[in-house]
Amino acid sequence: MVSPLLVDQYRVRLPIFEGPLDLLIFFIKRDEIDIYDIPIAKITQDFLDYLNLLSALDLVLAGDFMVIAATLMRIKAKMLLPPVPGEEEEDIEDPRRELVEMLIEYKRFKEAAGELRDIEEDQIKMFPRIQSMEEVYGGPTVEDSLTDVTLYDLLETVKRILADMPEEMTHDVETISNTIEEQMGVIESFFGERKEYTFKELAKTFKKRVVVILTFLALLELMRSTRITISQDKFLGEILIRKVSNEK
Amino acid sequence: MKSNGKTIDKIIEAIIFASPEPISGRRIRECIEGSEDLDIDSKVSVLNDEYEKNGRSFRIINVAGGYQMTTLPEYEQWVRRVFVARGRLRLSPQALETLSIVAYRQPVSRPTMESIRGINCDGVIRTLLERNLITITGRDDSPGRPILYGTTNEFLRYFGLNNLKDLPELKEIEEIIGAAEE
Repeated sequence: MVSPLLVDQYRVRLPIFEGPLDLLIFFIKRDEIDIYDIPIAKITQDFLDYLNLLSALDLVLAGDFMVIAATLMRIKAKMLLPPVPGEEEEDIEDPRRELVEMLIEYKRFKEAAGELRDIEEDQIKMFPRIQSMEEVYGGPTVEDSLTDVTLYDLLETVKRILADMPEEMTHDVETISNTIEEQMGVIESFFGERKEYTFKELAKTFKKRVVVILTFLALLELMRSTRITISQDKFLGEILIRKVSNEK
Repeated sequence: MKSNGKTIDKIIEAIIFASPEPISGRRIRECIEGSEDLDIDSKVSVLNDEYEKNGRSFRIINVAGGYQMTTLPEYEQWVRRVFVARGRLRLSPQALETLSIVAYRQPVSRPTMESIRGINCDGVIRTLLERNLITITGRDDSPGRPILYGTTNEFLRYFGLNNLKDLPELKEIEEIIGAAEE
């Protein structure tokens, strides 16, 4: 965990980076590194230190930095592996090559952005003589937009607007007071003096479909705890609910 | 050359003055009968020389493929106040970086911009679209058919460029390395 004091120190000292590649370029410049011979172990460490700090401050940004951190660590791992025996030295590709190409490509555009900035600085001081297009080509003025408007036009417009309005949709969500536990009680008490009855008989006593479903779930629960057994003589046939007698 | 006692320079001046956006040489010639072979550039130079001689506060510049009158930079501090509501905000470094990729690599998709910058470009692209500096130019044929972006006429105008060829040349790799070692 980074202490708040440390964060404050860093916040003052660290320049602002436009992204992970920008940060790498900063390290390379700061340490006067040859871009074709990057000390990957040190750079990775510096990068991870910065990443730790970033994740303490800004998680979204840190995500992009993670990708480059993974790339750095992969390169570092590759460089630690001994070369495959029998392979000529020239044939072995420098694991850093891809990263170097990426950095150079990024730097080209970073410098191009710098040049655009200079141009912007000059241009922003000059004000072109521009009128609004409507002023020139005769957009509606207050006067001509209100001439020849009749009451009928207004009504037509209102009608069209109303017709275009999306229909309001409301969904009422009812809260169900019944619980599965309660319905288990209902199922058991419905036996009364009987030993069995059909689910249809019981379901007839409920007014809402959702209660029937709840009761069905309660039925399954009772079956699982072997307090009742059920049977069905054919597919989609009557469900017969039978009490399991406690006396064995 | 005269037209009812008015010099052709002044007619061109009037047309450029009245035009709401950079007006092309072709369009100017269309407005003046018998001017098919007229060299607008040289007439504009005559006008600009006159403005300079008389100490005027504006010039005619060549921008976005046309001619346009614009105030001189040294009057910025006063003229700027006219446009308080519109605001002339400078682009952020992130926006400029992304914009430079679009400018040099167009048409270009968001994944390409992100792989060059190594960072998410979602918000920046939205800003550039809102400021009308870039626009959607189509879709790439690569998987997912990503949207392609290119620069707009407003981009040329904003940077005072006549066309994309006026962009500073992208540096060669050798120059980039050289700069890094300085």
